Amino acid sequence: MKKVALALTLLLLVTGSALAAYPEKNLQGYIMWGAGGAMDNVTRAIVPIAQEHLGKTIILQNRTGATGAIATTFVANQPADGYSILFGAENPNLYKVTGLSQIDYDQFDPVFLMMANVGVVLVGKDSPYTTYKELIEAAASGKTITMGSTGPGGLPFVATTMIEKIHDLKFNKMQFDGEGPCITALMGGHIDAVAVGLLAAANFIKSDSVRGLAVISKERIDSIPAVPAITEAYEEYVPYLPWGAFFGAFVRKGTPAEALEALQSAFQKGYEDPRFDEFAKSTGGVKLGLTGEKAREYIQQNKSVSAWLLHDAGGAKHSPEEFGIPRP
Amino acid sequence: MEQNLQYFLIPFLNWDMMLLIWVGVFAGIWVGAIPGLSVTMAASLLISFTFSWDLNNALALICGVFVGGVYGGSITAILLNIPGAPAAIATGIEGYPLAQLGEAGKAIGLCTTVSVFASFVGILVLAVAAPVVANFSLKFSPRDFFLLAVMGVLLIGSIGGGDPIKGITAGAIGVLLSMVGMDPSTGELRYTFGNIYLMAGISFVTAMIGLFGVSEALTQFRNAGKGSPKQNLDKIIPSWATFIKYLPLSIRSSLLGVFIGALPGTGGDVAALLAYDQAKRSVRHPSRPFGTGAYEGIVAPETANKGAIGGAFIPMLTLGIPGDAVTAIIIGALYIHGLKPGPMLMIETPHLFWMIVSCLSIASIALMVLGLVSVKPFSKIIEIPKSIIMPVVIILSVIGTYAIQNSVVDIFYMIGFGIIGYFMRLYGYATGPMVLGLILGPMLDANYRRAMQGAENQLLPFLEGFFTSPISLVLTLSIVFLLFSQTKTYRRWRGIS
Amino acid sequence: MDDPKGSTAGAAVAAKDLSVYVPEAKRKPGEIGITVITFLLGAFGYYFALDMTSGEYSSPSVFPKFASTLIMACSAVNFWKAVRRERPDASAPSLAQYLLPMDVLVVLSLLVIYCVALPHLRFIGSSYAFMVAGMVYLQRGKHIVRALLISAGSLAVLVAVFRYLFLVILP
Repeated sequence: MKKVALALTLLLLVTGSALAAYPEKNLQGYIMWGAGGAMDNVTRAIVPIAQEHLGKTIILQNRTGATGAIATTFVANQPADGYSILFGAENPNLYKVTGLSQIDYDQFDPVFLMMANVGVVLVGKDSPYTTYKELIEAAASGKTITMGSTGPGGLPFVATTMIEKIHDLKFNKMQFDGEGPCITALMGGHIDAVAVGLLAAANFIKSDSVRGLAVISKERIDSIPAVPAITEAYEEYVPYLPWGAFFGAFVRKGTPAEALEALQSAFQKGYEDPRFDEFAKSTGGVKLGLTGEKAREYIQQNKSVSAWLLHDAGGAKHSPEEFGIPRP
Repeated sequence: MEQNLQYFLIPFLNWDMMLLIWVGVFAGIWVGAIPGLSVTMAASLLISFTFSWDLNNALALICGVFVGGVYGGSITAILLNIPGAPAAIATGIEGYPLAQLGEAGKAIGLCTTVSVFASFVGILVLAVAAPVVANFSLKFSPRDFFLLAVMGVLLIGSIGGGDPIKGITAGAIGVLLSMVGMDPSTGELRYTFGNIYLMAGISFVTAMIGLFGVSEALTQFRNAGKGSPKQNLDKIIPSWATFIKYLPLSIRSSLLGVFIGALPGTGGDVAALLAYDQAKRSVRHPSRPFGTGAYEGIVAPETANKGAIGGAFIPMLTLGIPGDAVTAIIIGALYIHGLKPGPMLMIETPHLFWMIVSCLSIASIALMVLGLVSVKPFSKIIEIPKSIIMPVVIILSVIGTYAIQNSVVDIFYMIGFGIIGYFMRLYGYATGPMVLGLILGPMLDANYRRAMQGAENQLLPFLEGFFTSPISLVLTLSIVFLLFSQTKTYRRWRGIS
Repeated sequence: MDDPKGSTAGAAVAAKDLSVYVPEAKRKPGEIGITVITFLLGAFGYYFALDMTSGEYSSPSVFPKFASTLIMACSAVNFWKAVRRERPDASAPSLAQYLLPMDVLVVLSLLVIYCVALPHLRFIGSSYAFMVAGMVYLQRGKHIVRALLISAGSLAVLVAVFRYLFLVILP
């Protein structure tokens, strides 16, 4: 009994400072995408609110490169003390199958998933295609359709792969280094169509600068009710949905439970704040608000859809089976 | 119209905003002048910092930092041959020799005056012609961006030192180094050898600080005994006659800057380089031969990179497409403050447009005052003995490099580039072309491939495109003309020595 | 080119330290060597580009191959030019003297030591040591107190700006 008490006291002494008042110093936040992008915007919108509840500052920096693998690897190598937060999107879900890196969200605990981003298929405002069916049928008839795309792992890439696979098509692809440049090229008439995240596209659709043909989702999205869901045109998409991008905050596995809980509650409060609501509304994104086990399931589902899609399209270096990723 | 005027006057009638713009310009000059600290960095920091502020105040501060920052980069380029930002590389080519001649004060004074002028040209175009310019800029296809990059590459002829072949060698090495890392379009790893740090690529700012700053410091140590040039600080404000003399060049270069700035994805750096090249080819009787301290070689890039500020706002405010990295961050700020940047911005929130126009105007006035006031103290820096200033410059380069992405590895890269640059100089390989290659390499590579993909990977349709699209045709012909203008026949005919 | 000195005029003039100066017409020590190095760089670049995806005109390997070929071609021209130049005089500095005069050698060594020491002494410690050592050496041991003070002052300003204004966590 005495020994146990002694051990407990010692343990308390050792971990005491961490237990007593997390956070006792400022935190570091690493954003895996560049300034001005959707990931960056979501992070910079929620962090100032969340840190009010945390009582310390989260110092943010963009650590870009290799579709986020640099930031992911970096944070995975920091101490698991809850003072280094990774702000990441869905990209790490494909690191293993593309052979980019062995470190993905399996090494992390999700703190909070803030928002989801659904894909939307766009054409130019003067395009001859007014419905999604017309676009697909034109492509199926052998007409050359030039699609904008990004690197493997990006939403446009996986979405385009999904479309090609379901309809057994081949688009001519022009590759850009982000969703923004894809939309710019579409407005300039340099590509025929593109599938991008709604966050990047919503305001262009609302102002009729581009035409939204379909959202890659089972239902229409509130912020752009005029754009039909892709399943309205083709039922074949159902097994792959819901699928999209997401934006979340993560800490290394093994972070003390107290720290994780403190962070989760701070981000939960930030998420419920009307200021964040306003942000979500103006960007057109879908609020997600998942944490703990729910967040993990969501990430796994996304991972299995994307990884298998990429594999079936021949874009993966390794089979998802090697890593025990189940087929959707 | 009356309504617009009212919006325009908001910052003038609001003391908070007025003060913040001035503070922003002052801070921006320093941020710009310190290598490694960039306006992009400052702006993204300010987004978090001003989160709880009123949007107008936040924008006022960011506009101030933007204008001040672009200007500040040129100061270190002139004084120490370390461009504070890539947009100032061209300024250093003439500015640094001038500082060595003891004319740093005059150079910075002229730079300030024409900068303010160009900044107003940019604002004017933004105010009166934004939608037209924005729609035109959308018409630029990947092929046209490729051609613009090729034009930039031709600059190697101007900054390559005595031997053009050596210049091309250095430039090609720069292009090759810029390929290192993950290809942003396909995700393919090039020259990474399985190293995670190489995957992120070699940041050209890191290379720039090493190749210009540290290699310059090392070269200086070859004759550390030589004293620092005494500076003449009598006439720092250029006379009216001088200003008029450079007016045609200023107008030409600032308009070029506005337009290049308005193209999505290209900013002040490309604008300044193209303007310098353009001036070098077209000015018949420069104040001194180019490369040894020609004032024309300061006027052209400085007006171009300031014009590019107004230009960068054009697609941002009319279409919601960022013109450069800073406007991309401002778009983010608008989202965070609950606005909807995009094509509807000008219709839903017209006050924002006119307010930004007026914030930029006030910032330009502030730049005039703060810039001229700081000429003398800045110029004194070069009078400090080299044995003292050079170790400080090296540490400044180190911390600046680290700050770009908080990476110690970058410090090693930077010092490595410094040593390579030092050896290159010893054998007559200029470091400028290598930096140029690093900057333009990704633009050349990505846009060439996009253009090729647009032609479905067929060589013939790809080549046809250069002559069938009107914009491409104009650019192609300009390049042919630029190449022709290098020939002896042409130079003799035009009487350029 | 119209201007033989080019943009590096300032640097070229500055580089004319008499003890290590080689007249323009003569070949510099190691001038052939550097062309061989750049050629090898091009060759390596090409060799590793062979591993990249290729086969189409828009493949990621196209530009690396193009740049590598250009480097090799230009290096060959540079090599030929260097060989044709006059041999250096007997009085010309040796390769080591030409590349690394005493001052440069010392500063370079300091830089290397700095890089090695950085992870151990942290930024402030190693930077202070570097600045003081550099200044004291370059002023030939004079004004040691001044060097100590100036280094401390400039470091304080830098740390204040980067650490507290820009929230950069120093290494």
